[in-house]
Amino acid sequence: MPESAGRLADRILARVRDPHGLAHPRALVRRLIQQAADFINLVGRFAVNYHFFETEPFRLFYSVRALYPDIGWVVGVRLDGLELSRVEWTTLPYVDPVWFRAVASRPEAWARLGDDRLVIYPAMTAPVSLQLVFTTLQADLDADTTVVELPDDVLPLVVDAVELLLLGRARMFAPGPELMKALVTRIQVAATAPGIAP
Amino acid sequence: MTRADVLDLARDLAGGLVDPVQMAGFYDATMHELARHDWMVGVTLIEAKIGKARYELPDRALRILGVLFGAQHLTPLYRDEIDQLDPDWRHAVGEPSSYLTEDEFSRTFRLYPAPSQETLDGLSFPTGTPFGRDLPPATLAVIHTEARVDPPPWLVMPLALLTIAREFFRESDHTDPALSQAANNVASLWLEALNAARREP
Repeated sequence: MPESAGRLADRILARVRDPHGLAHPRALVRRLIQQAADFINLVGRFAVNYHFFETEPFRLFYSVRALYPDIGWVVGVRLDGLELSRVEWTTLPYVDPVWFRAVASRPEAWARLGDDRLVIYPAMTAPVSLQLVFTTLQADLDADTTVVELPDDVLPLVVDAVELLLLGRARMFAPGPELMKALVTRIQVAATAPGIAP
Repeated sequence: MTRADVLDLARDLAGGLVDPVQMAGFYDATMHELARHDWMVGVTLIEAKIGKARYELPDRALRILGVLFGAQHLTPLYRDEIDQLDPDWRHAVGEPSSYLTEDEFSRTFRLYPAPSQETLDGLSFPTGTPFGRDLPPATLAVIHTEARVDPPPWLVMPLALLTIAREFFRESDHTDPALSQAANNVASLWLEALNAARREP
């Protein structure tokens, strides 16, 4: 069952021995929860969603964040339910020296250009409906009642990440880098073994 | 999130003991440094002129990742290579096949050879998109990393931590090298994990 930001903040504040949020304001804790949730989801891909979008004729580059602000990173592009190949854009000139002028009726591959632009290769003569699969970004946690959109078994990682940041804020930063390394390892383990609590 | 939000977060994380003016400068410097990597990428079209070899990068561009001209994806060349390839390269004119940057911090790049054609009718696009069939024949397109004022959401925390690291490293009434070091280490690990994740298929 999805957990609210307020309940998660309570757990975190209890862990840092500030249950009433006197040293660490709740609004700050919620902001940190949001940042930690985004980080954990981008690294582990625990919460993904999809949007359908229409390509434009002869267009090659798409700014996905301008299209949909809830997109973290695109992890897949589908056409009629079939996955398009993901390539590195730097390999396109080896496949097709005039890749940026190529046009066709169907796309063959997609690439990320930076982290918020997509290359749909080749450009298409007519609009096509593509399905973008992406890691989601956490909605703003403006209130305690807002839900954290990650699976329950990943929430302990969020708690640990925020605790690590709050320890630094309380000038107890000696364990910070080691905790961060351990956290990243646990995210990666959790991502490869879904369903197992980290 | 905007630049102001990141500075606000950095100030809160640091417990308020910061100089806002210095922090803003450190934010910009950190953003500039991160922008040298390919987290934020832009594509800029430039009109080519006959015989003109040297072109300026747009203000926000930092590092060239690729240059397209006519029907070619140009190859990068170093000064030594081009000197050996064609000692008279500065005067060569034809269909550009390569580009070279003068040095890492230069805001210009050169085409080799200088183009013998130029962009006609400016950069106007019948269907409103500049690529595919719409790309005018002799037009330069530069793919480059870019600095932005407001960061993408995934760079907010590393930016805040790196800004804190700079602020607490400088000589002031709140200098704290241990905090600076810890913030820097956590930010580096944060970025490293993101970088590994985004390369995954």
